[in-house]
Amino acid sequence: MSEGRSSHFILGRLPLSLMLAGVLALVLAVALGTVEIKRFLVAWQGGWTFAVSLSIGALFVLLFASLTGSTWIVAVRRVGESLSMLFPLWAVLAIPILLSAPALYPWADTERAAHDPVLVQRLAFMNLPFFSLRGLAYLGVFFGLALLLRRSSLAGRPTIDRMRFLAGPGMVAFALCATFAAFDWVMSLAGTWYSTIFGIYFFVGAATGALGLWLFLTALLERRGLWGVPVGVEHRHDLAKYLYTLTLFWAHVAFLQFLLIWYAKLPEETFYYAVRSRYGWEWVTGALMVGHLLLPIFLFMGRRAKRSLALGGFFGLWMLLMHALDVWWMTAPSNFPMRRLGAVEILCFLGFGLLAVGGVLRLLGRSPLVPDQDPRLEASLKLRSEP
Amino acid sequence: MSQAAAEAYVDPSLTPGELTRSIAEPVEARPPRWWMVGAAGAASLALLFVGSVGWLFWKGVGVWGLGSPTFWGFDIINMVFWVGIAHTGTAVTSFMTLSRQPWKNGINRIAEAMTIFAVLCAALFPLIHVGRPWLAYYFFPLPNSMGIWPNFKGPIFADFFALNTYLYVSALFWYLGMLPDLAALRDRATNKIAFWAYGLLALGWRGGARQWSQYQKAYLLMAAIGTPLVLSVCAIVSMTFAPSILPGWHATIFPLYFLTGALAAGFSMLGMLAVFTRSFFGFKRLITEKHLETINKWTLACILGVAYVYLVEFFIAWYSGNLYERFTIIHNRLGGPYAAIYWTMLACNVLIPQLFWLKRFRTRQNLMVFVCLAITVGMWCERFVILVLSVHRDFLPGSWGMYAPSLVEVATFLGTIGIFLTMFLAFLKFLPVISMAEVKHSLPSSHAGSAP
Repeated sequence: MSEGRSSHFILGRLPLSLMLAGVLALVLAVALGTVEIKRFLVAWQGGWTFAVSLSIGALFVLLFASLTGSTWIVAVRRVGESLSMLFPLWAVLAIPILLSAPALYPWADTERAAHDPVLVQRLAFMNLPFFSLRGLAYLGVFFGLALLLRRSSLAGRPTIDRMRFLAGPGMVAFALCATFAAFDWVMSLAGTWYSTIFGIYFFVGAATGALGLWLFLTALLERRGLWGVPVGVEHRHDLAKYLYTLTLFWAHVAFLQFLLIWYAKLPEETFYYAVRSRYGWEWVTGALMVGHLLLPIFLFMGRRAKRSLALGGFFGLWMLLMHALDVWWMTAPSNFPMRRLGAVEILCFLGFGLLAVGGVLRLLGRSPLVPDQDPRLEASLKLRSEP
Repeated sequence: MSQAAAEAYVDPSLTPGELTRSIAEPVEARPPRWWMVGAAGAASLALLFVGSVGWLFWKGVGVWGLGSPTFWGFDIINMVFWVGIAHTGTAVTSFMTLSRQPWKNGINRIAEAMTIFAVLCAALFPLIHVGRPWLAYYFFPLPNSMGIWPNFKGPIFADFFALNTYLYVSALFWYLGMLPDLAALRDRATNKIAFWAYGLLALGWRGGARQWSQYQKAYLLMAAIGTPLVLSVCAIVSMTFAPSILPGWHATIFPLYFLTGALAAGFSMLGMLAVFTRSFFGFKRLITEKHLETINKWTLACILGVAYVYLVEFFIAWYSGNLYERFTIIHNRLGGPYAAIYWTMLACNVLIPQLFWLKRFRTRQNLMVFVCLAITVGMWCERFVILVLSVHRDFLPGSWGMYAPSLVEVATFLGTIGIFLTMFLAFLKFLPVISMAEVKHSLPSSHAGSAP
């Protein structure tokens, strides 16, 4: 079974063009950012979090599939693999965040932290050298796991079996790193605020965004006839069902976090939602409720919508956009209680998004589009969804 | 579901006829001696519940060890313990059906039965917890004579509805799945009572193509309803505690904490019940080692989720900088007067389950029963830690106190174990323990002639 083709000769210059467009968008954002540096930094941090979360989400889906020995995903696995291989790029693009941490993170502003009764107690953990070291460790673990999965996928049977064995400890390492990365990179933006479920909220959202992109690209490749093997409606249908389930689970976690904080009404927790319910942010909160939950829950519940090439692809793209909105909602209000949306924010998110899409397509072109060394490929291609 | 994957869970030499015979025989034959002894022992234990609750009603709640500041003791601890065990049955059937996991076929009936019996045990506790069970109808949204309506925002009120919904849906799911098998028992019945009893229960099932088509649609629908229900019921049970402002109770991770804890408790109990059933009924060709191994893998995954929550709870208690959070979650648990229970919980829920990384512990019955038993003890300790350790030392040292259960409370708990075992043994005797229809679908001979 070696019909899977490399896509580079059909996609042509598209991946590179997308990546260049992404770089251009980010350069433009830098140029605009010189007018108001903090605004640019907040937007950059948001865009970076969005991009890295996509790779984290893809890695979660791949690890889970490896752990459970899923067959259905084998044929379309390369899309997620490529997305999870982008960690080195995100590591380089994190440098501006590290250099400007005192402007973004309240705990990194040593003078402010020294006078805050809560932040001062955290300084042993929340200090710039340790924060940087941890960040490097998280990215290292993520990339190490992605690399192992990629190599096993390219090499075939013995390494696939070994990877299934390693996926258990790998998932433990992943869960710990993703949780503490969420605490470090996103939760600590909100200063003294804390929520025990935040790690799960972050990586379920990340998996939603990653699967959205995964589904969209799978549909795109199918529309352009690039797969070369019978990858099609059954695989998209399963991806869409998975995405739908994760969308519901994201809503479950998001609603419970809100409900418990609203119910207890402790000022040390409620300020997170108070900031996000006024000065323009209430519209973003509302848009998330409608766009991240209500619309998909009704529009994509049916089998027909999930199996349609156009609607299924749109579902993926929509959830990717909603995830970007969710990341902006998580990150920006902590530094700007008054909502600000303009060219800088759009360019940063767009730039990182284009880099991710371009990067995935470029990596897809470097190896056969389907893992033809995987003994489960044939079963995966014969997949038939039960009603 | 892939046919090859499904076949991996059954003995390929088994024929459909042999399968029906081996499942129906325990129902049709006279009960073996071990069953009679077991049922007598379990029913005697259940009598402890009747006795202790009778004494409670006669004397009042003073016979319990409750007192300021601990007003929720063994009654709520044990309610949460049983509710936890109850979650796995519906999760196994509904989630595994939706995700096309063939291994559920051999053990889903046992898991569902466990769910229903555990919910019934759990439901007994709120009734006696109110102190005046004849006023338990206050749970319902009815105005009482004082014209006061129940608090619709109250978590206890939500609990009542959640548990009821869960019980009805689980029972319906269980019953729906059993229809074809009940019809098989009816058709094999050799005496009139069995014929009429199973005939009534089978609701006129004839096994026609149309009936199968409707049955499969209904089953899938129930699975789609059951999966979110498991999540929501866990969330609502956790909200008996989490909306309060008590350190140790108020944590946003509580709904998922209860979910993962419930699944770990349920899978470990399911592991023990599966071993018991296959050993005593000779179902080793139907509940295979591979089934046991898969159950144990799920137990390990869920218990790792529990360990994750312990770690996050601990870290955030420190990170919050909140004096009371740190005291309750770190100092009082690690070194307080109930530290022994906390450390037992950690040993049973974090340390011992790591043995499941080793294949030997996942596949050898005696070894896996040891780990599953440890987890069951650990999960009970966890309920004690959540309940008692968060309330026995209030915000002011002047309102500190100790809680120890009275003999009546211990007897009540032991009694519910008796009730559970009695119901489970009755299930083993009178109903088909394994889903004949679903396992037959996995047999290679059922697919003879189809494309490989």
